Amino acid sequence: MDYSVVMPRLSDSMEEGKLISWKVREGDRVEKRDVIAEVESDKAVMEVQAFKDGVVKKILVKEGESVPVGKPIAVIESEEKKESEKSDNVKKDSEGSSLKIIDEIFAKAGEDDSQKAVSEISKVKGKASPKAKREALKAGMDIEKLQEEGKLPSPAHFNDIKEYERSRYFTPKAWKLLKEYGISYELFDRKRKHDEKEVYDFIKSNDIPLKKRVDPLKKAIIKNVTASSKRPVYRIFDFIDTSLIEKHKEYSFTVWFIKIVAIAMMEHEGFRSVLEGDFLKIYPNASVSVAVALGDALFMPVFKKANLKSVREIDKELKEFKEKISKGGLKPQDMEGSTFGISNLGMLGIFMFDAMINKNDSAVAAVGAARDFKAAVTLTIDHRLVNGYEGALFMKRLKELSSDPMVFK
Amino acid sequence: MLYREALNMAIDEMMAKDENVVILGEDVGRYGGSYRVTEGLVAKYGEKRVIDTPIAELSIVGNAVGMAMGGLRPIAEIMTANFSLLAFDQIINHMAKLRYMSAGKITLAMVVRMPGGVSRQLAAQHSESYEQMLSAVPGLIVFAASDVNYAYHALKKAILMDDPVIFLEHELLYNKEGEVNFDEDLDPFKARVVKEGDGITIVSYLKMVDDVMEAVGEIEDGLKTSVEVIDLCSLNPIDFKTLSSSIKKTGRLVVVEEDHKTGGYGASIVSFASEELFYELDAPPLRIASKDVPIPYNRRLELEVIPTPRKIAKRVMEWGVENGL
Repeated sequence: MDYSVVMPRLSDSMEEGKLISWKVREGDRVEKRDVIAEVESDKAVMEVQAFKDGVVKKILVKEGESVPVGKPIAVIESEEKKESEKSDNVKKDSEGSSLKIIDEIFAKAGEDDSQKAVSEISKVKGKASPKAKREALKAGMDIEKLQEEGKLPSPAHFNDIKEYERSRYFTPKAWKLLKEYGISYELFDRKRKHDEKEVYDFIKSNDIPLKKRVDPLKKAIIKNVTASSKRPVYRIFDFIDTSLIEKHKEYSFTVWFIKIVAIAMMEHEGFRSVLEGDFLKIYPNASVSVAVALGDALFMPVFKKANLKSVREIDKELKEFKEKISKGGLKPQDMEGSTFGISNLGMLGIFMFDAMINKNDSAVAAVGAARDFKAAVTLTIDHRLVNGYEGALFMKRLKELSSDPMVFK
Repeated sequence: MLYREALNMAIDEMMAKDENVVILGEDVGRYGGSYRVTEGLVAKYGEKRVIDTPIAELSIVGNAVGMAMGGLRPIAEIMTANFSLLAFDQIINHMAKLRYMSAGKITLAMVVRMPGGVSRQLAAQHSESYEQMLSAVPGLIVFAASDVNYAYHALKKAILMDDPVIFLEHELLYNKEGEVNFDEDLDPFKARVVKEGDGITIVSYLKMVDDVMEAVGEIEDGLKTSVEVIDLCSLNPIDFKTLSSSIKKTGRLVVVEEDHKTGGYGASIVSFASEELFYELDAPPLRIASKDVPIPYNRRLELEVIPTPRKIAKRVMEWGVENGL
């Protein structure tokens, strides 16, 4: 490997030196500490030594010439191996030595291309983190202007810039669709702006499902019906006579049916019971939950102590519940305390169905549409609370009450 | 294995391998060490190699320097970092400088071990951390062991080195459980990535690493991001390579230390990040440290002054929200 012999600084005040004489010629072999030249400083003539073994490759300064301190005067081709080979050996020799590791650690940590544009980054206007500014510079974005227009938050961070940069290739509606469906912006080229239709076509042709988070209300429903499905139930099917109900049109079918159920419940305590560990809690009144749907959400408001209420009061309460549900004002306590449930799909023309028992209720009555003054009723009953015989008696009582003129007085 | 047992094993193995390895300090011999780190060694290697000294820290380190100059490999124990103040002249003017001032003719293959930090109600004079001072002395290598595996390997490597090493321990870590991977060729200068993540880099050392790890779950849940936790391990030199690759990835730096904030060790980490990685930062770096008061004796006040997992989580989350997370 070549190394240069430079004009040495021989005293504090020396700035240049005159080469008095060469002691070697090009091609000569020299050993470490051999005198190769004599130079004159501002004070005295001194010897210049070789620092390594090697061959004089080139002499750069003629005798009698003056050169500044530090300037090469000759090149010597050293016999030592190249630096890289050499350090390899050193590494092997001193495996585990602290010096080697320290050297590696001090190898500059923060260098890469990004540092080159530093002066430009500091000129980026607007309030943003350094990383955000660097990204904005790369994307050619004017942070200050976008912040004035309200398109970027202040201060802006890296993700804000990234987000905006990506959204530029989409119309606002298209961008919203991407977010909703969780589709990567990278699937679209960045040569032009993509519109809503394009994104929607992409969704359709790739059959991408919309991923909707289950809201807390839906979660509660899922929890309840899952628990309900684990209950030991049996079912009883029959028809009730609806001629009297249809005759008294001043109140709806549901209102009349709540009334009838409440009367029957008072005669069968099993339907007023709740199972709690080793105890049965038997309520003195009949509280009835009624399924009311609003879109995909299902609510079970409870008509408390329905046995003590007149049909007019029940009707009023039902209207209040419906109003509360449509306005989102139904409170948790409005849905507690029942021991029996009613589900009516008659208004949709359904002939017959069965329902799931609500929360801690003992049973649920599923009511279908009335045809020829007859409506199908399915009782789904928790066998732990009410056995088949009692269930049958209860059904029988519902049938009697629905055609009892006294009820409709 | 316990942290103190790992340290004991490291010393024991090195003493068995090399008879030049000796230990000295207060109660290291017959008593087995204040924290039982040197337990059983005097019976095995005798009083000539396991030396009980008077209560005189300056002379403990001074003697160790002399022993090292004479070719031994002494391990000096200072009972707590608080008492190392008495030995600072030997540590700074002799231990750190003799190799440089003798143009490398004198080497000091020696280790000074000391536990520091806030234990539990030991009051102001026994609760300090002096890593900021010790790490600021050129010529000293400073290791800080926060886990059992590092404690074992790093102490062995420290004993093997020809350079003087300050080996920091923490009083609350001595009974920490952990595994030692005996097959590992651990590089004691390398920072340890305790947990990977790409949202926030939290840098810490010694006992605070455990506190940070306890806080991480809450932070990740609260800020909906992932946290990378780095244990510095070597406080001087610092493993800037590991630090910078993490900071480049996350753009967000938090440093947690038990020392007082003003002039605390974490300042140098934040300074590195703002000097070298300014344009990589997506938020101002955050330092979580003890309050600038002498550590109180009262337990409630003590906990009020030092960082705790709960306080770390709360502060990082506030900072995250303030800065666009």
